[in-house]
This record gives sequence, structure tokens and C-alpha cells, in this order.
Amino acid sequence: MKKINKLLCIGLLASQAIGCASLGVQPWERDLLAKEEMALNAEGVDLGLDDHIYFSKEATSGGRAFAGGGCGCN
Amino acid sequence: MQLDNSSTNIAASLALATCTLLGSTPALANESVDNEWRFDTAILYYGETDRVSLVEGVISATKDFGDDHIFNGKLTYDGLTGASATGAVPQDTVQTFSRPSGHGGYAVAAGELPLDDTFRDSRVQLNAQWTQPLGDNLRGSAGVHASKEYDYLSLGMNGSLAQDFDQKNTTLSLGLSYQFDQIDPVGGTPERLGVMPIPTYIGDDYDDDHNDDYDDDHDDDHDNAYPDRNGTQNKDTVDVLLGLTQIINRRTIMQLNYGVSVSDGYLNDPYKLVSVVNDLGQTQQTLFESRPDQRTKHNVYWQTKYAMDSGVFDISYRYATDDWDITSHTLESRLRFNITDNSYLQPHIRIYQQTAAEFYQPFILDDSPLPTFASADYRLGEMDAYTVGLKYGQQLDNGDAWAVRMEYYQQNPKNAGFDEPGQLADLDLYPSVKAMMVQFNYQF
Amino acid sequence: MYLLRSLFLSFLVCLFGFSFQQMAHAKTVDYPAPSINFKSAFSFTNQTTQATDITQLSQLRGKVVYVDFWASWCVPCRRSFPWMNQMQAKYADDLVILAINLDQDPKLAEAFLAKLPANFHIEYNPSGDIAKAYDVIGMPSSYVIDKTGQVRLTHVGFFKAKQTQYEQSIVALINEVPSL
Repeated sequence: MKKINKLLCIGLLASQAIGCASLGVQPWERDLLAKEEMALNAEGVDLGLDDHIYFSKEATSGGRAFAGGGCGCN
Repeated sequence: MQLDNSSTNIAASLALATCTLLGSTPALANESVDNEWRFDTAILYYGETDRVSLVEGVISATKDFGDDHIFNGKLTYDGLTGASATGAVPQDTVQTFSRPSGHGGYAVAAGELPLDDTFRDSRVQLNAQWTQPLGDNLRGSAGVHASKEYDYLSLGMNGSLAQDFDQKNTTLSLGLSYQFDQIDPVGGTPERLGVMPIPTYIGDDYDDDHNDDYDDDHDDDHDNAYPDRNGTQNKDTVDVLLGLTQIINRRTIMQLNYGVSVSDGYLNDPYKLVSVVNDLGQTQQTLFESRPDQRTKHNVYWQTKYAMDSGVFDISYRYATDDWDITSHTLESRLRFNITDNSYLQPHIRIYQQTAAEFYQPFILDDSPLPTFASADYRLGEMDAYTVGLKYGQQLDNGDAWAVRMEYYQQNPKNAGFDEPGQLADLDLYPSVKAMMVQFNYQF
Repeated sequence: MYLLRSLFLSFLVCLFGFSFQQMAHAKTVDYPAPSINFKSAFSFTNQTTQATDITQLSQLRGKVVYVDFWASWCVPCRRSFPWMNQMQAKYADDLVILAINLDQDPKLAEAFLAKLPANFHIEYNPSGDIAKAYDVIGMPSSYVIDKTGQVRLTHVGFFKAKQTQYEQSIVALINEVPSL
């Protein structure tokens, strides 16, 4: 639990630091990021099938997950 | 049983959980309207030269019940046939092995890698996931899954949260999932490093093994030659995933994930074998494998997507390590070229490399003490693999979309520094596995 | 299973922690509306039945003005258009809806409007300077301006479940008699 909290804090700090470094776009500049093919989980069915194959044939699996990005609409 | 005997991938289900977090749900990103179902379907054929072949179908249905309250249901069916490597070494003479049920056996020709060719199974999996906003900048998602095959049952649940910062340019997400797996091996659960009995007869009577006919009485199917063996075995797995997504600029988005996975319980593959050989490389005995009953995995995943004027460039890297001493690197890239406004071509490349588990050994020497743990499953050995593929997709005027892709996948197992006594030096203990994949998608 | 329990626990703690942070939605504010110069960047397309010769926001003094920032690629914006049509028709005499499009390529906006026709004013602001002046923090963003030109309420996003609430806030401002 401590580890998780610590990681969460580090993540928050990192994101704040990144925020200060003025990465990112204005809300109305997300036209390209809002495209379907730019979503981190685009082609979800393909990725799911691939994960299943590689999971069955190799010793490691997982890692990918999706959140954020996209159109950032509310 | 699956290609591997642990059907569902908990990390994949967790990915599915966090996947729907955010308005970036692809199926709903652009064209769909509230209260309309969107279907993603796919059929995949995966075939290895001389080994396993698999047909897998997926129907995924997504609906926005209003204001980004999104349901996704997914049904997966797969059918598997063919042979898979047992872990036993090849010999310069004919070898015989018992079938998993203990009824009958099969012969392997001289110089051939032992494959158990009776694998025939089908699997059904159901996933359901609900995602909704929990505040201006917070989304939550929760889901369940169940999967069933002849000798395997998997049940799981997951939950995740995603919080946006800095005008949604930064997203932090936390996902958690729990999975319960139950395996009921054909022929019962063999003893760890127990000796495989010599078959009583060799024949083509496969019907009692790996039967995919659910209508058959289970008791009959499990009426095996080993009444004293243990039956059902369980496994618990917990996955935690922490993700950071950052928009870099108008064209670039980056993601960094850290995941931990802890498995506890029966982690063996009950059908995998290890040969005991003498100093001439001759098999003396064949044992069932033995893996530790705990495994903790860590992985770091980084992905960047870049929007080009006429396409998308996607690159990712994954580093994984675990307490079985397996370390792996995966580099993957996709490059989408938009040919026209509604069609594209997408080459794909994936390069994979793993080190061997500490208890992996291609065989056991009969003059050395019996180890506690040993597996000769090549999937736990040192290996390189690569995939190359090409996908073509098209959007139709009515809003539907279809795509077809073909991929070639090759695994090159390697000798992780084991001396090969006698005849084994002249035999191929690490043959490559070559597979083709063909997939067709339709979205409506 | 201690690990498992503590993981779930920390998960729940996070869930509640975040949820409490997230209570406020519509923000009540009170400041003069930044000026909008119409026809500034792009010519006023005659999308609307009411396309009159407004050139300045200040000309709308005496009416309630609903300024909505939108783009063709924004999903919730799609939900808001039918509602804005309805509101404009229902309160035709007292309400002016100004939908400011922020697409970099106005052609995309026109394609959007072909599918979802708008019976209110559309203004094109591909440079985003108006959005900047209004401090837009999400898409869509709406600003309700009272009869004296003060921004009285803003909300980010558009939720069907809150339509009544949005309407009430407009009606409240319509019913106000400005003390001049």
C-alpha cells in the first residue's frame, strides 16, 4: 500500500512537472488526437487477439493499457 | 486447453478495463450516436507449420447509454486443434508416450521433437465492462469476465480509475484486477516430477483425451487410468497497473505504464514433460514438469503515437521481468498510411526477446540430483521471436468498416548454455516455430 | 492474501478521495464577457435563420447570450446541437445562442453542420483567440451572459442529464430585470 501511494505521488509530481514544462495542447487543438486511429486503444479487437496469441506462446504478457488522450471532450 | 494452459490473460482483461476509460473509446469516438449499438467483429486464423492451428472469433458490442456511460460486451470463441511440444527431447530411436488420460499412447519417430497431437479444444469467453464519468476529470470503469474450456475455468473482475490533470493533457490511471483460475486436467493432476507411466498400448484412440464435446458426461471423460491423482487445481492472480498518459503536442501522445502481477497457486502445465537422460543422451524416464507455485511479474510499457498528415506512426516498447528470472524486451511498431480518405495500409513489425526461467532445463541428467523445479517448456526458455504483418482497411459509405490483415510470426528458441550429451548433440532440441495469421474485421 | 486486501483498500481510498474532489460542475461566475468581434476571422456563413448584422457582442445587450465553443471532432458537442436548436426556438425573443467553432479547417465544421443543422449563430474562430480570451478549459464550453453583459455561469462538457439545469439557468437570467 505504501508502495502504491508512493508511486501515485511520484506520478502526480511527474505530471505536475510535465505540466509546468508546458507540454500539451489547448482544448480546441485536439482535432488530430481525437481521430479514431489516434486513440491508444484503436484496433482494440486486433490488440486483444494478438495479446491472446503472444500470451499463449511467450513467457511474458500484459503491459498495455489505455487511458487518456483522444478528444478530451468532457 | 489453450495454446498455453492458462487461458485468459489477466493483464489483457485489465487493459480492457482501463481501455474504455476516457472519451477515446474508438468505437464511439467519431461516428456513433448515443443509444446505438456499435459492433466490432473479427475472425482470426492462426496456423503453425505442423503444429497447432486456431480459429478465433470475436464479437464486441459497445453502446453509449448517454453522457459517456458506456457498456461494452465481448464474446470470444476459439477452436484449437493440432500438436504442441511436450518438452520431452527427441531421440534417435522411436519413443512412446502415454496420452494424458493414461488410456493408450502415441509414438514419436526417430529424430522428431515429441509433440502431443491430441489437442482439440474450444473455449468461450464473455467480458462485460461498464465505464462512466465520476466527475469533471475522473472516470471509472468496472468489469467482469468468465471463460470456459474443457479443462479450464477462469473468472475475473477488474476496476480502474482515470484522473485528468492540466486541461486533460495529463491522465493518471490506476487499475486493479483479480482473477481466479481452475484447471481440471485430463487424467487428473500429475505429481510434480512424477514419472510418466509406459503406455499399455499405442493406438489412434484419441477420443478420451482433450475432448471438446461438452455434451459428453464429464465423469466419463475423466474416467482415467490414474484414479489416485488429485483433481482440480486453483490459481489466484492479482494485477495492478499504474498509467501515465501525456499529450505532448497537437500530433503526439505518449503513455507510460507500470504493472505488477502476482500469481499464486497451481502454475504448472499438467501436460508438459521433462526427459531424464543419461550421459549418452538416451532417455531413461519421462517426468511431469514442476514449476514454483508463485510468480511475481513487473513490467514497464511505453507507447508513443504520432499523427502524420496522412497516417499514424505508433511505436511501443515493453520491458518485463519476474522472480522466475525471465526478462523480456518487446519492440513493436505500426505505420498507418492513408491511401485515400477512407482506406489505409498498415505495416506492422514486432521484435521479442526473452531469457530463460531459472528452473528451465531442456532435460534432466540422470546422474545429477533431482531438482525441486524443472520445466522443459520452450516457452520458458531463451527465445527470440519476430512478427511482420500488413493490414488493409476501408471505411464504407454507410459508416461500416472492414479490414484484413496477414502476419507471419516466427519463434527461435535458443540454447541457454546447456551441454548436450551424446546423441542430443546431433538432434535439434530447439526447432523454430513458424506461424501465419490471417484476420478479417468488420465494424458496423 | 494480505497484499490483495491492502491493494483493494488503497484502491477504494483513491476512489473516494478523487470523488470528493469532483463535486462541482457548473461554475457560477460574475465578470464582464470578453468581447467577440464577429466576422473577424471568417465570413459569417448564412447557416442561421437569424443571421443578422451583429458585429459586436455588446450589440446584444438586453438579451441573454449563450456562448458555446465547439468543434466538429468533439463528441459531446454533437449532443448539444439539438438542444441548442430547441432552446433558440423556445426563447427566440430573449436568447441569442452564439456557437463558436474552433476547427482549424472550417470545412470540417461545415460537414458537421450539414449533418446537424444549426438554427443559431455560428462563428468561426480557427485561430482560437476568442477561446483563449474566454479561458476555455474543455470542449464544449458554454458561457451564459446576462442582459448587462456579465458572464454569470459557465459549464464544461454537455450532459443530457443536465439539460433541465442548463435551461433553468437561462430562464433565470431571462427573467431578471436589469437595474440600469
